[in-house]
Amino acid sequence: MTSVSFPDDGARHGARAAARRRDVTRLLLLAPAVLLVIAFVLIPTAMALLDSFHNDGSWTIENFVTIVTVVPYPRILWNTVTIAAATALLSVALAAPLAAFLAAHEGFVARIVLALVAATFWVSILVKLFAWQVLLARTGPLNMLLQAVAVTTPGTSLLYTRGAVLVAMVQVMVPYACMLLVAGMKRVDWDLIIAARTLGARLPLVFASVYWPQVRYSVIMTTLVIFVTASGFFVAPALLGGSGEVMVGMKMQSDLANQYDSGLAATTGTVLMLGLLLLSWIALKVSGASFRRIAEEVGS
Amino acid sequence: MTRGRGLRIAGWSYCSLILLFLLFPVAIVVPASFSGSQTLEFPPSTWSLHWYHQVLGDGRWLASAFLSLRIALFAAAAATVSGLMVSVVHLRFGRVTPTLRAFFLLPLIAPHIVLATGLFSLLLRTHLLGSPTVLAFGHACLALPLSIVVLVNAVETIEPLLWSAAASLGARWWMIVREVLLPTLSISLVVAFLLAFIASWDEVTFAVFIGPISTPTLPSRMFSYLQELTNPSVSAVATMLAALTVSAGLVSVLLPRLRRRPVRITP
Repeated sequence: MTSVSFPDDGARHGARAAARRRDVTRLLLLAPAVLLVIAFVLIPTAMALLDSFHNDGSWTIENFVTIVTVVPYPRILWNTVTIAAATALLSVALAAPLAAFLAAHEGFVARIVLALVAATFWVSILVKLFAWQVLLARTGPLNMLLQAVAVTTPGTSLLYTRGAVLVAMVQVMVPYACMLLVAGMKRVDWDLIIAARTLGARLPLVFASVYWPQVRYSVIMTTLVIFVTASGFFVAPALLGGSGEVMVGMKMQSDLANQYDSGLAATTGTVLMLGLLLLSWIALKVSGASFRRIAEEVGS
Repeated sequence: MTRGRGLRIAGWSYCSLILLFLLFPVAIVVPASFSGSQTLEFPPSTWSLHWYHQVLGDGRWLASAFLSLRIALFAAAAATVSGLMVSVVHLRFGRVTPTLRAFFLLPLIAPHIVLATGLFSLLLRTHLLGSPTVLAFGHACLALPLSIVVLVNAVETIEPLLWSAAASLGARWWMIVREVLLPTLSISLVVAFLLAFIASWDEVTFAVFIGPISTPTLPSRMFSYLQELTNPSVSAVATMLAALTVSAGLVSVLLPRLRRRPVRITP
């Protein structure tokens, strides 16, 4: 650096000042966006972490012991994991064939189908949950139909069950899964598949060794994103689930609203976050990807 | 040949089934909202507009809608302007690095319930809990990844030398932004604004955790009504909400196709 000498000392200073000005401008332009993320993501996350290790003014892991041992917390954590996992697997299982089909078809109808899927994605989750409340009500159309063919008796309620929560959460998540999967599946190289077929490979073999390796990353990533999103749901179990479907989000909200103490809610959040990080790490190891690639994928 | 055709028929039938599953539940809300009976029913036995009269005549729903509108307009504007500034950096000062891009996607990836809990504790101490302004800024942050993705992708189609060319002809930066950048990005700016607007307009988690309580936002009020499950007037609100969201979504999808790009700048 120092060995570089400019013929004119004034020009050198000028260049340096210009470079500094550029850096300052760049920083100022990035500032609002960076500050928003710091204020509403980094600081709150740090605050939640801090609160979970803090109780009555001293450092302690008491909150974590409570979460793991005191009823209803372990149960709620388990509910969250199982409901989110079932939602992720069902959504991806339903969306994958659709996405594979749409990704392989270029045409007016395929575009319309994709646009309709996207349209349902943008409808408020509350509208969808309300629709399920109507459909699954005791005197709702579905129950009437089931009673008519004598599957259920007049007293049974479809609402406030795990099935109701799952159906609604899957309906909310399928469009999201489908859009993420289509983006990944558009990149499948069909020439490779045709080549494999020409060389005499049977369909199961083509699927396992030519198609799956090309979409594996996208499928695992989508499942992970859906799982993470689903584990943070609190409106769906609150509106459609019974006492057996309480998930962490609901409990955190009621802890905050009823006790005005963020200790236990923050601890639940911390456990959730650590669990998600661990799971994401495992999933990324399995699929051979990185967080950065996920960020790029979600962003594209 | 027949096998390929069978596969195609199976594919389209599957598409229709999934679309039915996705659309049908939303579609039944519309007729249910025009029901004439006093309880919620589908299919309705008589037709009337009385849920609409009830909702539109109720000052509380209107106050919530107005609050949501103000918050969403502010959040969308803030997210779009911040996103535009990031895209200017991308165009003018070298590409935004993948790490920085990942950083900007954090609001999308981080669990919102954890963020809301941290914010609750923070705002409780600073006596800002329930402040609409804080909620608006929070929504701006949640919408930021959407506007950044749209605008940075749009700016990638602009030739960076265009800026230098304009500058060498003596244009000041604000002139370049006004005469070159904004016209080129106009459609993407509208799309970014609409996506951010919907993200805030429909947002439930922050609104319920840290939002105003006496006059909650529209989704927050709807959530508390749905928990009670006794008031069918929600069906009218749901129909209007869905109509608004779908039309905003349609505009953001159709707009880039309706108008061709004003100037083709990519080589």
